[in-house]
Amino acid sequence: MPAAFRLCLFSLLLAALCLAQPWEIGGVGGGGFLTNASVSGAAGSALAGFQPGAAIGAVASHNVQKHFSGEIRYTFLQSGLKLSSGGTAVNFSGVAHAVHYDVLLHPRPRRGAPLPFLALGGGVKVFRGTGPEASYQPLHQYAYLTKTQQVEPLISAGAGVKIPLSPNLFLRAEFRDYLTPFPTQVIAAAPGEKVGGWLHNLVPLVGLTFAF
Amino acid sequence: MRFRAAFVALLLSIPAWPATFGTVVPIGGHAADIALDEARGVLYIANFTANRIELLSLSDHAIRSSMNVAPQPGALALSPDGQFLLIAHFANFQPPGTPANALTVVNLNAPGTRQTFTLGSPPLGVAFGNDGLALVVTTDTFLLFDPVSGTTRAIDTVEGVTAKTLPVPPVNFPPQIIAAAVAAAPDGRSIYGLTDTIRFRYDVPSRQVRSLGYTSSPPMGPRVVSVSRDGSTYTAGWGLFDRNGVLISQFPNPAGLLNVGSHAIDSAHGVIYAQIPQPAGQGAAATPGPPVLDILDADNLAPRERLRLPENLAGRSILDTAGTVLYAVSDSGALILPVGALAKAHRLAADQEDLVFRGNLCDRSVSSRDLLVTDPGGGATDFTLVPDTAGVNVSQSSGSTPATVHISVDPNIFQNQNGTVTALLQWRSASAVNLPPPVRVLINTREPDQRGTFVNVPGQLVDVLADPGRNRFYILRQDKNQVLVFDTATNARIATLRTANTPTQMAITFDDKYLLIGHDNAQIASVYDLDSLQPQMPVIFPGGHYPRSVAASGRAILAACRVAGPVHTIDRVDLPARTATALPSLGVYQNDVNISTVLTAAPNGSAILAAMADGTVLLYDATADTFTAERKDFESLAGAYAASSYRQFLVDHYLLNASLVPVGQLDAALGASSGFVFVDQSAFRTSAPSGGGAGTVQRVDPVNVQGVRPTRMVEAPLVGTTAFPFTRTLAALMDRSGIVALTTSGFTVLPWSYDSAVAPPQIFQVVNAADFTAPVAPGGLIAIFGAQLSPVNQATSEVPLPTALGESCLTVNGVLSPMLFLSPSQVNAQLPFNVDGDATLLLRTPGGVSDSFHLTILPAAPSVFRSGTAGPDTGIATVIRAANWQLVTGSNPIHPEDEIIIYATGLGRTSPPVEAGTPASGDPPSEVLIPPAVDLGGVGLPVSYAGLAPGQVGVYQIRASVPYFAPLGMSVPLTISQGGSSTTLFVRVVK
Repeated sequence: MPAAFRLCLFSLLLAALCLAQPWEIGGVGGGGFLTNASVSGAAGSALAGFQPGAAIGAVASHNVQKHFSGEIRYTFLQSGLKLSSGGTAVNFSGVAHAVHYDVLLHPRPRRGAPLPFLALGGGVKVFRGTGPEASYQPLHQYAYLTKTQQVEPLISAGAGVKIPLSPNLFLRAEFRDYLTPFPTQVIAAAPGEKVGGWLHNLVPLVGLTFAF
Repeated sequence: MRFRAAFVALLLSIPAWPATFGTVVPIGGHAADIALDEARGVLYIANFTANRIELLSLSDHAIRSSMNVAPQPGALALSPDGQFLLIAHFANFQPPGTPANALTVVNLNAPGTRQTFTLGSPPLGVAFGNDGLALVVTTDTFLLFDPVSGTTRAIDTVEGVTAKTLPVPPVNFPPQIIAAAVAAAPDGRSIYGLTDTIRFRYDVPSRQVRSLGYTSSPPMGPRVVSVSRDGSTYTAGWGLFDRNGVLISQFPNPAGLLNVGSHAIDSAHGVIYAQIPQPAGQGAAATPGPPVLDILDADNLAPRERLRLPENLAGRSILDTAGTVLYAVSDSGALILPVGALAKAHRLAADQEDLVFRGNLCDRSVSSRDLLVTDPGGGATDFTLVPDTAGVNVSQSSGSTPATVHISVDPNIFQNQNGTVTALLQWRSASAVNLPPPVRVLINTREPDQRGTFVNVPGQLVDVLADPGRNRFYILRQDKNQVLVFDTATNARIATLRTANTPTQMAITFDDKYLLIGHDNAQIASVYDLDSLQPQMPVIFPGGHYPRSVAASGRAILAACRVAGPVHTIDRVDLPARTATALPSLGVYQNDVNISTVLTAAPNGSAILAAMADGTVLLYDATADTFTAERKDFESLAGAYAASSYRQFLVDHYLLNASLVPVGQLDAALGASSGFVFVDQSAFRTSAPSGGGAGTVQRVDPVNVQGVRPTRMVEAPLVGTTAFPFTRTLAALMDRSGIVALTTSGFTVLPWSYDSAVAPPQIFQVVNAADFTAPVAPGGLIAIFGAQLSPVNQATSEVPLPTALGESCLTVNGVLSPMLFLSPSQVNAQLPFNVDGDATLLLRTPGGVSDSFHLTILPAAPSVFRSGTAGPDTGIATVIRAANWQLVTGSNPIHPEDEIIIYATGLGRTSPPVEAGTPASGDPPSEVLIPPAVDLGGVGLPVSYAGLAPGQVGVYQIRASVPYFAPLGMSVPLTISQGGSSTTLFVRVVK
């Protein structure tokens, strides 16, 4: 949690430095795909993770200088929880919220031409299990899919391109990888089991931004 | 004592049931038919003898006007659009009179407009289809009458119906004169009719008549037809038929009077209202009994309720569209029965059919039971309960509902009975309109040598059958048309199957897939899939054949049928086709059997034995696929009948060889033959003494024709009746864990080794029954572990809990402990509330008395049950989240601000106190005297209630709230502390 807090603070400070520069705001939409984590222990092994789902978000960016810009983003992701083992799968509805600040590197900026970029930043991601709780959950010998929420620090990395549609309107196509620690409260290992590691959330997005 | 006798005499002298249900409307003549015109608020009543149609107002039940019509209006029908009232005049005068058979059409939309059409033959009945045309049934023709044009068209002929001619001798009523009834289904798509010689169905869309000749004894009375909403079933006379005319069920033992009784099908509520009079008694003339309206299940005529009527019904009954008022022809004219307001009528009901007082080796003091008397409609209804047997005392025997009546029995008065005495509590009431059945009081007294544990099953039990492939046994309850399915491990009922009317015997097919049930009042055999316990298509028997006994060999399924005809027969069942056919002959013998014939198959399917009350026995050989032996070596036979896989047979007290030649007689001095079951090459039998008391169970060596070790049973087995002299009351369970006998109170379970010497019980350990740890407290549930604790497994659902269960009883410091469960190695019981500190526990069984077991009973010793289940998981602590009312588990963790309910035992005495063995009342709640503290991970939880769980025995409930700042974790300790004792379990807590 302290790491997440520091990352947020850094993002806000960086944004504050840029207040005098031109801004872009817009929205993006796409989908999210997540990697699984292995649950292992005395009961055997299972795969725990999140179901693919839609993603929508908002972005506010500004150009720091010719090759760099900064943007702060919010992304909402449908992230149903899942657990599977030996042909049995359990799902549990869930969502996630990601807030982060990214620095964008523009290698070949040319006015009026598509503008590719690389992005790297950080923030926090909130995982929420929202399904109905029940005394019995299949595969509970491995892990519990839980109705709770958990905040994890997030590293954002990605790349994309901004295509000018008019002097003020840009089409964005991009790809992000949100890297977080595995949320072990939302998908909690059963006693005697272990789950953990890093979770990749691969999110392709397209959107429109308006520059002013 | 003298005062008591005088009081009882006084009670008996007053009218028992002066109240009746319904309002009589006299019409000054004899009503022949009615038609209901709800749109105009009128009931038309055909006054047969006064030549009038009376118009009865539905609002005030008064006859406001009359229409004078042509002579002898005998049948009425109202067109579907309500425009026309059609009147059939049965004026079939013999010369020198002039026949005036006719139809009158009254246009109800044009007052005063009516036309009369002369008919050549006497009209017997009329009914409208949904096409607006009326079917008119005369003695020789089915006519279609168009009331708009006044045209008549013959659609078919009627054969074999002879009309009575007028004048008739005195004391003849319209149903006896016209002797026919016609009724349309409410949907108007079919019309059914009944005369002396034919039943028919008219299909309105196709305009086809399907007529079926019949003979009947007794006559098909009452001469009324009523049809279900969609025309799929109809009642005619005393039978319930399907649309094809198959007799699904019949009303039992009908008198067959044409002019007394009625019925109406209420499809919306699945009931039939019926008055079907029965003969006054065997050999007596058929005279109507007291007028009673039965409310029956519409599919199998199982009785629900009986209502006293002010007078006899005497013809058609019509239910209004809402199903709230039944209008019926009656002796005086019409009877109006507000069946929809039955809940408002004064009625009586008891919460138990039987009250059981068990013999108790530990206690001979007076014991009592409570009986809750209510009015099902919630009203205040007066009642008096009168016991018919001395020694049964009813306190507050008179009162007003709702009331709890205490029935007490002094076992010392019955101590010489050594069995079960049946007493009846008879009802009396000045205001109740229903006739509740008497409450049976079963008083059992036993000596230590009497074996077996009886399980109370109310009702008339007539057959028992063990499933050869499953841990179940089946009991036939005849009075409710049910097969009761019991689990052999617990002797608990696990399912109830419905049969047709008056089931008599069961059989299991040789492949063990199906259960077949024969009936005395249905011409079908019910079929159930034994894996799913779901009903299958029944077997349809030939018309007039009632399959009273069914047996399945490896080759053929046979049924002994009571036949409404000259001879009774054995029919062969084609199970795949679901049909049966009377065998042309029984091998070289005529297929003409005694009405009492019973069949039973050898377990290996090789043979079927037929036994008859006149002393005849028959043998069907499955290999030869025919009957190979018939003998009559006895004047009469009754009682048990059985067949073995080793070509040995038993009927009554007689053992027969493979050719049915008697090879020996078992000792008849033990009493009347009741049950017999072969087990491999040995057998068991039961006998009932003639003077009451305990029955006898005995092992039998069939080879040497010798009974050994007769042993007295806890109560007597059932014996046959005049109508059903043969009895199958004994079954050996598949797993050889015991035998089951039908006995006075229900059934008795005997362990396989019931007659072996029984060692005294040994107690090894006493723990609480929640988490099986040592601390126990007053009123807590306990588990006793040991050896020889009981000869049988026995669980009870009786409330209050009995202080003697099976053949055992338990005392703590000399105080009786209510018991829940018994097995050879474990006993579950409740500690008395008034015992604590150092205590001595004693268990008495038929083997003797255990050594004293010393234990310490703490003032409080909370223990949380581990009896929760979730999916396949068991052993879960019974902590419930109020948020979703599910058990707390890893996948249903506690959240801050949750309310949790903990079910535990051992929380000690309460205020107000509750008697041990008695469920706690929720009003007022019984709160514990020592308040418990609940702690979650070091944080105290506020407790809103701690006390006995309402409606449960020995189970306590703690309600606690989880604060917002509760510690989180996968395994947070939840501790309940009370009076120096505590228990801890671990739960998951998340935000």
